[in-house]
Amino acid sequence: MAAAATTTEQAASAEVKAKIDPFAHVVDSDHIEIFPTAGITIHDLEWHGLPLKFIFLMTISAVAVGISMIWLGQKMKSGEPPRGKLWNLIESLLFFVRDKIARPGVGEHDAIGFLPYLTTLFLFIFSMNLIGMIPFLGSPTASIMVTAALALVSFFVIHISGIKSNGVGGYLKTFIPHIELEGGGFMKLMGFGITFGMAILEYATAFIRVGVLAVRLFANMLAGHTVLFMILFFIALVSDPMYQIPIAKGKDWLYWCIMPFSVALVTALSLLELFIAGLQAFIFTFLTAVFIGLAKHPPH
Amino acid sequence: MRFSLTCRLFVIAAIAVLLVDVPVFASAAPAGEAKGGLDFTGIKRYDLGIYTLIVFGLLIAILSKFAWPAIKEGLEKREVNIRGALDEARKDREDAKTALVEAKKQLDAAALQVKGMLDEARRDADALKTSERETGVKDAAAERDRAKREIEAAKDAALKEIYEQAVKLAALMSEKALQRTISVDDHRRLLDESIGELKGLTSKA
Repeated sequence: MAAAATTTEQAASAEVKAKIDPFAHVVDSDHIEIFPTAGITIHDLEWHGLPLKFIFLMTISAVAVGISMIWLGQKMKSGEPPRGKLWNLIESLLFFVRDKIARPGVGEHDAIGFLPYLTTLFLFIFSMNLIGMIPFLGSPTASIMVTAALALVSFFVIHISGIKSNGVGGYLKTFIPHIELEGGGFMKLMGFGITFGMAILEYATAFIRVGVLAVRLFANMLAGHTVLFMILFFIALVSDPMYQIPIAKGKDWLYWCIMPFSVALVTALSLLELFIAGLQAFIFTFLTAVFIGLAKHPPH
Repeated sequence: MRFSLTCRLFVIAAIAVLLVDVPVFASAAPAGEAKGGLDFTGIKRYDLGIYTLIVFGLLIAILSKFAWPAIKEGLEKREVNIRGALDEARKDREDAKTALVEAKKQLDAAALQVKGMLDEARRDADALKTSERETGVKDAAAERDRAKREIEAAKDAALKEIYEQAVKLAALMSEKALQRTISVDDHRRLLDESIGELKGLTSKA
């Protein structure tokens, strides 16, 4: 009897712990929960057991980017200068990628050729980051597989560009540093050893760079949204009987202390998160552009 | 060219991911299975990775077909327009420069012309002044001479009249004093003597 009670308690505790999983509202799921207390939930966002929330949000982002760019193309086709807020807004993003990412990163000569890829990448990431700022939704870039897939595409774009510019052998040689040590046989042997070690590191860097691209974007988005959730969740921790922490029991006034603080802080951090949404899209795209530039024109 | 390169790169990436991921995808944990570790990162969501590649690839392909050619065309047109406007502005500036030089030349010429005209006017004015002064002097002299002549004539006429009256009076007085008639020759002689005395008095005065 006592054992059964303990099991029930443990199960209840596990259930509560599961409910206060800080990542539950940030990662992919099969439902969109709008205000748990209001009980408004969109269920069954799944296909053969696979959650579809991120797929759904990613599709919306892609469609928004696609429609925006096609609309911009139709507008720009005439060669007329931009008119209207929307046209100026979208065009400014295009020129931002050209002037602040493609040209400084890839180089003046090759920038225009990579502009379509870099612009699509930037807008796609930016829109996915932004869609996460809509309450109750989430950012698909908070999944490592999404960012890894984008980084993989960048990986191929970077290295195939390098191979096209330098040839396979020439490109592989660019990873080998040129070290000359004056002296006898020992020094030459040491020079060879250092060169060999650094070449291995350089080859590894080719993979690490894109891996870091994926992890940086994913970690920033996941952490940002998790922090926002947790700060708001302080309100439930002191007021909702389901989650209430022991120290808050019987202290209803704590709600009035915590609630304004949480709301104000989340509002401020949401503004920061908006900035980070743009910044992370910029960093991912800019580093891709820099790596393309380095691959095409390796330093001597 | 670059669009097709990007598409080809993407296809290669997609194939690579499918080759790597599909077997793992097949063994992915079904929904509802106990989760833990790094599951919160979505590390086992290969479906999401593949879907990302598909969506991103489609997006690139669609934009390569429907957006970028139009954007490229628009940018080229805009570049031509801007270059044309710049050339036109440059030409206008050159024209304006030329016109400015021309206008300056004309202005200088006009200034010179005005200076010449002023000098000429000053010279004319000086000449006119001199001429007027000379004419005035001449006229004044002529007027003075004429006045002198008139005065002389009037004086002569007055003197003549005085002489005649004096002769008449003298004759009349002489007649009364002498009780005889004095001939004209007598009168004339007397008169000439009187005039001579009068002239002598006048010159002394």
